Amino acid sequence: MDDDLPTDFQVIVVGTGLVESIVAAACSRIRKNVLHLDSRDHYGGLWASHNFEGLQKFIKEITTDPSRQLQVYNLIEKWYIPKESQEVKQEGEDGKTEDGKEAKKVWSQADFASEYRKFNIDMTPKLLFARGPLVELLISSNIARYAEFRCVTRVLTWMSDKLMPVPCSRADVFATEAVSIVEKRMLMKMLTSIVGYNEEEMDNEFKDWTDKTFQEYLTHKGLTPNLIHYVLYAIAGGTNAMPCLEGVRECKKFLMSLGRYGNTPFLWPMYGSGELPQCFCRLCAVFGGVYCLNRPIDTVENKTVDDKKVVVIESKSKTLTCDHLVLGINEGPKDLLSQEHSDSSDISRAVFITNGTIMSSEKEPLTLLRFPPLNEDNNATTVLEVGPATGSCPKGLFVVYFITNKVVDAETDLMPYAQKIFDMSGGEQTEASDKPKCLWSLFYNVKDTSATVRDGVEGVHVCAGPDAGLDFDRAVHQAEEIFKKICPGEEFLPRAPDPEEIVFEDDVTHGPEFQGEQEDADGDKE
Amino acid sequence: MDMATNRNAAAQRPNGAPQTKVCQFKLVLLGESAVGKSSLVLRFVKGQFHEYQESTIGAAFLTQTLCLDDTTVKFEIWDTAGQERYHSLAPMYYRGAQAAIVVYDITNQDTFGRAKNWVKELQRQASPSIVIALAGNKSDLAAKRMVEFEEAQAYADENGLLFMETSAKTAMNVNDIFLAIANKLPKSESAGGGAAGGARRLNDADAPRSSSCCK
Repeated sequence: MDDDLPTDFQVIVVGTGLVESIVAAACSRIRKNVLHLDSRDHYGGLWASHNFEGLQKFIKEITTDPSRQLQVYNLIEKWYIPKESQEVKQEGEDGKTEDGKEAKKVWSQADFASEYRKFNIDMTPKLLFARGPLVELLISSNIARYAEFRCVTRVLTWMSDKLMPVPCSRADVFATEAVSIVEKRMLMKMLTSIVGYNEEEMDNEFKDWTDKTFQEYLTHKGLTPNLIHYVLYAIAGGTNAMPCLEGVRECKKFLMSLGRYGNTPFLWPMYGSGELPQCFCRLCAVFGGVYCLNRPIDTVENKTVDDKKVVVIESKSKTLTCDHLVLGINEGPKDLLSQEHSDSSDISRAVFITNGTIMSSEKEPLTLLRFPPLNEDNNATTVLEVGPATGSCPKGLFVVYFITNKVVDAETDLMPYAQKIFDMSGGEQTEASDKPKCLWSLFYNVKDTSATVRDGVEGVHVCAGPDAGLDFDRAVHQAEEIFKKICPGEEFLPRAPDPEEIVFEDDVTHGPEFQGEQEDADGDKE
Repeated sequence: MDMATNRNAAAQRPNGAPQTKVCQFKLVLLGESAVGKSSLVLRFVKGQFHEYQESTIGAAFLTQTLCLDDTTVKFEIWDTAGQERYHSLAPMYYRGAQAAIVVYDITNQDTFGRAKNWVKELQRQASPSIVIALAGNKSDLAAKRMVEFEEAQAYADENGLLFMETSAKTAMNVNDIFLAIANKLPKSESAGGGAAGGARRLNDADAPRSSSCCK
């Protein structure tokens, strides 16, 4: 069906992960001739979001043929609910209990299967900082119009063995009852000064702190243990060992992104992070990029054609040539990618589907929870809880992601954290409980491939897989670096014109005046 | 696709007079390459037609407004950008789409068969409430007709689709098919806007801004 695929391109991109997709868009945008392939039948690679059926397929592939997906290991899936629905005891005729609350639905595995399309479960869930590089890139390139986002509504931390909201904004700080007035002043002074430093002042202020920890700095500043917890674990997302300068930078990033959209510094893409690579792919296609999924490549080699070095690719017994090949880490022939992998920075991930939020709130919450390490060997753990309003799951459910740097394996690393906030007993779903019930769980480790990336063949640029970081900054940075190597001196994703700005040549027939308006030019009259 | 919010879009002015509703809808185009998807949109939005229109580079996203009696319907029209060619259309293309036009070429039977597949794909992938219109394009080439009007009409009726034969070249039925869709789209309460109330597009403005739902 794809035998009429053209064979000569300036740039061929293999793999539709985020880094590859940004590079594809950037090259196509400046009118490079781009072919974008993926060996799978879906976009995103390890950056994809899957519906429940797609996820089952992914799990099956890992467990039956691990060689197809070398980046993922230690995968354990577990159900906490029965296979088929049982007779539902109706407590009221309209499914409501006596106190007027909606009765909790009792979920079965069959229900998940029948509502599979309402799930969008992320392999690489991440947040965008409201003033971070990805948001700026989406806006400046005009790719933002392809996606919708929701604001993270709250940041929580785990303190004194319970969940606590973290005051994010000035208003939050002053509204919270968790800290005293004296502490509030102290905290505001500290945060204000961090935001105010420019690079030079920062170097000056922190010149004696380069080999000390952020915790030592905060203690030195006279912050109380309460405040140190908020700043170090929740705002900076650090541990006791976090170097001072890194902590300051993380805090600054957090604070600088406040006040742009919503009450926290973070955004979550509707339908999950897996939408983002597709947005960049669309821009690539809009500027002429050719797309072909289900198209694995077999070999890659250099050849000289007419005194010009080219990269030659064999794919389904077809020969493709290009000047530059951009290769996702899990797409390339194995001999092309270096094997010097150490698992020191691998990622432990878990996904839970629950029947309620970890902390009730008036409207459906979208939560970032940052756990300090529960014991000394552990790393800090990031938790993201998303609900039906994000397009992640059917009504009545929440999807909760756990991310940390691997110590032992995903289950050992993350289970203690999950047990703090979920009821993992698998008991009756309707019984009253102060914690949401876990209905389904998935643990897995992912290799951090950033260190192994090496360009083996001339003209071949290898893209790392997903990292453990909270944001997309590393991916954006890597994509820009690769683009600069392919197209030195060219602008990285200049703004794509709005439809109104496109002038079609030889306008022969003139119809009625164009009445369209720019999609975001209208104000709010709600 | 979950229309969670239940806001009444027809806000009342202080004096009680009803304000014209503006509903925004995402409309996606589907169909084989070269059936005239881009031409239909270009005719509808800009009133133009180019005989030898190349694959539309850089313009796969257009908006157009239609005024109905009490409602202004704003279409945000998405073109495939050629991603359909090797069966590689991204799921994000269908996300939150409230309407679709599936286009075939009346002079090419294969494109009609493919159009039926696109309808199936939409019924499987898109929101269950999506309004689908079938457009038999190139009706100006009736002399070379390979797909009978009655055959397509019967298929459309069976599947609950709007159906018209159109010509981007002569403009026949182009505005009409968009108007028919606009009339069929639900314009009450949570109609329009993106996937669900509260979701937002990003823009340069730093000031918080509410959703693009009905204003």
